[in-house]
Amino acid sequence: MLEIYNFMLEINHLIMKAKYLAILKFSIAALILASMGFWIYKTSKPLNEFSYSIIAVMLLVVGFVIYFGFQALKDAKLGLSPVDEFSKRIAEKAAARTFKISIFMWLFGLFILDFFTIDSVNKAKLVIVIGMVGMTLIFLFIRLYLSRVGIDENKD
Amino acid sequence: MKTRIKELRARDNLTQVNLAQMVGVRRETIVFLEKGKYNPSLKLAYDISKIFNLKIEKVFIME
Repeated sequence: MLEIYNFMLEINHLIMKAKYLAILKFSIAALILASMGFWIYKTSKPLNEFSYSIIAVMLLVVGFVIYFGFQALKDAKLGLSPVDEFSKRIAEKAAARTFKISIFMWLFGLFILDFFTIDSVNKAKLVIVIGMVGMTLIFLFIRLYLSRVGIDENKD
Repeated sequence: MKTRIKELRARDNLTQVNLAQMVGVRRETIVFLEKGKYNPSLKLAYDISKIFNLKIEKVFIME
C-alpha cells in the first residue's frame, strides 16, 4: 500500500515538474516574441534584408521552443519525467557538436566578411550576430535530429 | 548492444509508457533502448532489470 502511495506521489511530482518546464518554455517563447515586437515597433531605421533574416531565424527559434514545450506537456499528461538521462545526453552531444561546427563557422564568417567593405565596428557586430544566431540554430537542429534518430554510442 | 526489453515487456504486459513511468524516464528513452540506439547508464540498466526480475546481462546483451 505504501509503495503504491509512493509511486503515485512520484508520478504527481513528475507531472508538476513537466508542467513547470512546459510553462517555462512557453514563457521563453513569449518573451522572445515580445522583445522582437518591441524592437520592430521602436526601431527608427527601416528594416532591411538582414533584419528580415534575423526575424525569420528568431521565429524559427520560437517554433523550436514551442515544439519542445508541447513535448514537455505531452510528457506531463502521461506522467513521465520531462528530463531524463537520454535527453541530457542529447543536449550534451548537441552542445559538443555545435561547438565543433561553430569553430569553422566563425572562421568562415570572418573570411566571408573580408570581401565586403564594412567598417570594423559593424563587422564585429555582424560576426557576433551571425555567430550567435548560427550556433543557436545548429544546436536546435542537432538536438532535434538526435532526438529523432537516437545516439549510437558504439559508432560515435 | 542488444536488449530484450521489447520481449520482456510483452511477457509482463507492459507498455512503453508503463515501463517509462516505472523507471522514471521519457517514453522516447525506452523506444531508443529497444532499438539499440542508446546505451543506458548502469543505474537505468539496473532499474529496468529489476522491473523484470532478471540480471542485467539477461536484459542487455553485449555483441
